[in-house]
Amino acid sequence: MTEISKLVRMRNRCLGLAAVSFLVWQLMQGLEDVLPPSNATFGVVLIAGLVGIGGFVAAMGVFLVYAGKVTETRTQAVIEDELFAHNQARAVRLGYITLMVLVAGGYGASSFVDIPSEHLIRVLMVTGVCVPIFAFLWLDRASGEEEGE
Amino acid sequence: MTADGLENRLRELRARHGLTQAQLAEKVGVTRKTINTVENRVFVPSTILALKLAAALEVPVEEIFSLAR
Repeated sequence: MTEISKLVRMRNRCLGLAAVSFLVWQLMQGLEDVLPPSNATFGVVLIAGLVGIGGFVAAMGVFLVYAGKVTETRTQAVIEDELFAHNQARAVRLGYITLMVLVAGGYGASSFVDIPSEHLIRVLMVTGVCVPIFAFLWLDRASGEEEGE
Repeated sequence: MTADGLENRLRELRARHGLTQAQLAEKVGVTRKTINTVENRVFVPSTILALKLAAALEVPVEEIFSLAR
């Protein structure tokens, strides 16, 4: 495996960890707001939330190491080549469309049911962060599976 | 951009030069995945990359890429 492939794999793992841990962190924080502290599962939610925060912090740490390695090896132009830019643009577009659909859906639904703005903002934030990352990882994976030279 | 309407002989010409995808990628300054997607007609390269590929394979660019009939 070349240095470039190693760095790309490191970047993708870091992005995946960041997205999953952010999702867990926010989901658990949302549950904390809903569940009463006396509930039996509250402790589990609290611990899972802390694991999510820990995972996110770890992902940021790994990202700093990755950025250092990319600078050291002067490989940024290769790693962020035109296929990367193409996949990144598609992922961001998908995230934007998903956000718009959610905003429209939430706005429409708020006419019929009372949705706390805090929950709606949290869902939009998680969507805005996680959908583009998952979409990018999926596109990147789909780009290079056929020939593993 | 997907490669509908664009044919290419990149895989054949690369093999003729005895290069792996990774070696060709290194020559033109992209990742192996980019070469893979161009060969599989998933991704249309920019003019600059097409010219770099042509230079690396020592052929005119139209020998690699052509419009599909």
